[in-house]
Parts: sequence; C-alpha cells; structure tokens
Amino acid sequence: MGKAQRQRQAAQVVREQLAAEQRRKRTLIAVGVAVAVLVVGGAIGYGIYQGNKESKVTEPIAATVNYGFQTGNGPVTVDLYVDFMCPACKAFEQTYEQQLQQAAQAGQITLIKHPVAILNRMSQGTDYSTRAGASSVCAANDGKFTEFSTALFAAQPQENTSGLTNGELTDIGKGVGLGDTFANCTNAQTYAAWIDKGTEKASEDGLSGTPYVKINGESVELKDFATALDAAIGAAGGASADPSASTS
Amino acid sequence: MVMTENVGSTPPVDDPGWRRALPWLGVACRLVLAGVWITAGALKLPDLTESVRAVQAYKLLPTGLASVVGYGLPPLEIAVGLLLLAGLFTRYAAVVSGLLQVAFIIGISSAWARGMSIDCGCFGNGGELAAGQSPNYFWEILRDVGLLLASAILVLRPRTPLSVDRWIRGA
Repeated sequence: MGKAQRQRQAAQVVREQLAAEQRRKRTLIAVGVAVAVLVVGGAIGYGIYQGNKESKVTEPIAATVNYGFQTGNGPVTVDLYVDFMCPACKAFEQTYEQQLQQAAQAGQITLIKHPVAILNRMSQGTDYSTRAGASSVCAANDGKFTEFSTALFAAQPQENTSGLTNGELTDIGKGVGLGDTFANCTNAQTYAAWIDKGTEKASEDGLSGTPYVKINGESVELKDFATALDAAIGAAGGASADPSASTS
Repeated sequence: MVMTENVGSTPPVDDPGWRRALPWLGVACRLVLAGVWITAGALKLPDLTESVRAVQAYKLLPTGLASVVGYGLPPLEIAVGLLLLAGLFTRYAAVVSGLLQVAFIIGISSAWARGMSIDCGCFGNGGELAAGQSPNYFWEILRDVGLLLASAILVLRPRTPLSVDRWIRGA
C-alpha cells in the first residue's frame, strides 16, 4: 500500500469521525429542543387543565337518582337523558312529556330525567347546555324541576347561538314560580360541575346522543319508544299509558 | 442535449426528474399528516371530557382505559403532528401515526359492524350525532386509509427535504 493511499484512507477515517461527531451533536440538540417543547407544552397544558377542571362537585339538595330527578314511583322505570340545547329533545318533550307525566302520576312508571350537557359546542363558548342543566338542578332543589324543564324547552334557543343568559334563565324560573334562591343558584352556576359529572356518567351508561331513553334499563330507539313503553306497562300489569287508548 | 432528450419517445426507467420528485412526495405526506394531527389534537384539547366521551361512545374499552385514551390521545396527536412538521425522527413518528390510523380504522369499522350510530369524534365532538344526522363511516374509513398510506410512505422513505433529520445527517 502506497504512502499516498494510506494518507487518503486516514483522511477518510477522520472525515467520517468528524461527520459522526457532528451527527451526535445535532441529534442531542434536536432531542433537547423536542424535550424542552414537550416539557413547556406539557406544563402549559397541565396548567390549563387544572384551571379548567371544576374543583368541586356540589351535590344537589333535591333527591337524585344516578344524576337524574325522579317523578312517580311505578313498576316501569323510564330513564330520559336530555340536553336543553337539543332540538330533538324538545320534540320528544312535546310529544311525550304529558303522557309520561300522566303515567307517572297514575303509578305506572318511575320517570327519571337526566339533564346532560353534550352540546356545549353549539353555544358559541357560553356552555349553554351546562348552564341550563345546572339551572334545572336549582329548580329541582325547589321542587320545580319538571315545570322548569318544560319551560326551558319551550324557550329553547337556536343551535349555534350564544343561548339564553343566566338572567334569562332566572326569568324563565320566575315564570314558573321560582324565587331568589333559584336566581342566586343559577347565577352562581352552583351545579355546573355536577352536570358535567352526570354527563360523564351518562356516557359510561351508554349515552351517545340525545334524547336517549331507557325503559327498565334497556336503551330504546326513539321510533319504537311509544310501543315499547306500552308493552312495558302492559307487562307490568298496568293499563296502557296512552290516555286515548284507555278511554273506552 | 435538449434536442436528443426530446427525440426519445420513451423516457429512461430511472428518469431523474421523477426521482427528484419522490422526496417531495414525502414532504407532502409530512405536511398533510402534520396538518391533520395538529388540527385533530387541538380541537380536542379544550374539552378533554368530551374526548373521553368520544372514546366511550365506541364501547370498545373499559371505562378506566377509555379515560386514559381520551385524555392521552389529543397531546399524542399534537406531538406526532409537530414531529412530522419538523421532520424530526420522521420514521418513528410515521410508525406511531400509522398505528393510530390502524386503531381508528378498527374502531370505526367495529362501530359500523355493530350497527352503532355515533360520530367518530375524530376532530373533537363527544361522539354524539346531532338529530337526523347519520354516521359517515365509509368516508371516515376512506380518509383514514389515505392517511395510513401517507404514513406508510414515510415509514418506508423517511428521508425528506426540509427536515430536521436531514440537518442532523449534515446533508
């Protein structure tokens, strides 16, 4: 092997070593920057998360069943999950509410209505679903959950608007005979965290859209609801829940 | 020179022009994937409980695991998106990106097969469909297959121009 060739080889080895050294250095820099971004981003994210997290869930004064409010005490259990921003819930309410209330009063069904908040993205950042739900808990404390929720659906705002203000919610409450305790409770949003917790629970229980209905713990398609309810009441030994059918 | 090239009716097999374009296909894959991942993650971050609900809507994972995935997925999506955007550890980021797409395709297919009616929750949204809205499983899966292909291209050819990886190699 000639001297010139050996020198060329040596120079080649040195060049490779220098290149390897540079790669190591640059890898370290890149990893360092990536880790720094991760740590800073993580810290900011955690801060936001802690800031947003509702620190304390206040339990309602009113009696609750699995984050819902009970009417009647019949053998057939009807669980109804509603979001006050949801037009289909309003339609369901207008179609069935009267019949359900009658069935509950006649001792045929136990109606449990769960206010949930899955449509907060539909109210331009004002979280109307949560606010309306929290306000309904305030009404429940004063024994007027049913009246208030019916009035809320009647005054339902359009989706993708900012919804009703807390002041407007208070006015609706006054319309059904609720007073200052209710107004303070609505303005303070005392039960916002409870509504969000209940929504999480509902999701665990199978909710993937509203209105969501269960009869005796089994979820029921909306189009089959009337038939399924009649069947369940019939099976429980009661007369049909449909008042027009029982007038004979 | 130019003339002789124009005369030839069939281009040579390894056309240098075509070869030069290939790495830029990788850049395109990186940018598209980065855009999708960062958007998907950023839309989920503001409401992580919604993200948890979206995972739960598939009814595939036990509650505890669904929470972990719901909370963990948005930051992971953003991290993968940023790595692909910068072109750092492209191959590893593309592997994670591809695995996530496979998981999503399995999830959506299984929801479809079980006849469920949910929103995929891909870009935020708690998995609930609005009233009268029907699921879009076919297009969601098609989109995810496309993104899976883009990830696969980057796993096979991770070296792309305009990347930190290239700077590290000193090219």
